[in-house]
Amino acid sequence: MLRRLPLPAQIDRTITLGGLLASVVAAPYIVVLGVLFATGELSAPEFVFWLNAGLVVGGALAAVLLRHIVHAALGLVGASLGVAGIFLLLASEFLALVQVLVYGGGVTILLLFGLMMTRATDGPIVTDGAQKPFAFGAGIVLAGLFVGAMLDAEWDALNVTVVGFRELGIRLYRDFGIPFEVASLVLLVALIGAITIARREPAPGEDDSK
Amino acid sequence: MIPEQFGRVGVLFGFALLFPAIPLIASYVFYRLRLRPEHPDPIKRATYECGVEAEGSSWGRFNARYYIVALAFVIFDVEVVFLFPWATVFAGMGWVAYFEAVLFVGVLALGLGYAWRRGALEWR
Repeated sequence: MLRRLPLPAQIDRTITLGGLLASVVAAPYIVVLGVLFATGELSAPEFVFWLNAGLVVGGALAAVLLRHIVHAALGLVGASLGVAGIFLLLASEFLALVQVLVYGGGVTILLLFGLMMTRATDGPIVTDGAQKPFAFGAGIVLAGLFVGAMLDAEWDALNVTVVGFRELGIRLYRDFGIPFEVASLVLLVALIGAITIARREPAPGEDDSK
Repeated sequence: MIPEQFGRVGVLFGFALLFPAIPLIASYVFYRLRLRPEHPDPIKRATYECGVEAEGSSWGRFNARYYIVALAFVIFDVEVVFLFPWATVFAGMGWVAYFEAVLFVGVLALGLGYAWRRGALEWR
């Protein structure tokens, strides 16, 4: 079927197969959610929450399990977008914005570039290393912390305060104007430091142009 | 309420995700109905049909110079994040907010000027 579609050769091999695989996994989940929503088992916010939660868990699993570093980074972007969706559900627009712009965009690109430049070879990259048991242990401890905090929390007593975009802006620009300007200095130092560290002058005679 | 507004955006988002699938499905259906002409050509399956031919593997190394661009991107990404709440309050606060933002962007423009001066933006 794929050969009959007007697709570039590279796209139909990897991306379409990956997309089909993802839809095979995702479609039953979405159908089940849709049925539960239609029968009234789930309210609309719950429906959206479970969609986002599926995206977060699926993206995180893809980021950990996929052997190809670029595909793993795509999974990480998906997980970030899912978290942004959950922030939106909690009416925290600013956090959702930060999540999409900084984590989904910037940090992922930085991560990808770092990996691509340091360890990239012609082919899928195996990222299992000696740190694997430690990473597993750290993951278990973190998961234990989160589950403990979840079980300990009194969910009914939660008092939701929504801080809107405007209130945030007014607080930031009227009451905290000086710290805001200092933040620009921090960013300036980061930029200059990044240029100084990352930019190595090519040694004389060394061909650095590739 | 905010979530409802984003719900409407979400419907558009879902449609935007589905939209690219529509011509592919239509193409396949028309092929099955023998309505679509079938003239296979290697050029049709090239990565960029009109453009520079793709060469080598896509998993090659990046030049280290791209990394500076990526770092600068993250810095200005954070700057943009700060400017979004500014845009919502700008109308109510007037000149104070204006000069705050001018100072903020100006300091970062200094950094951009420094990057330019050092040749970090140039491709040598």
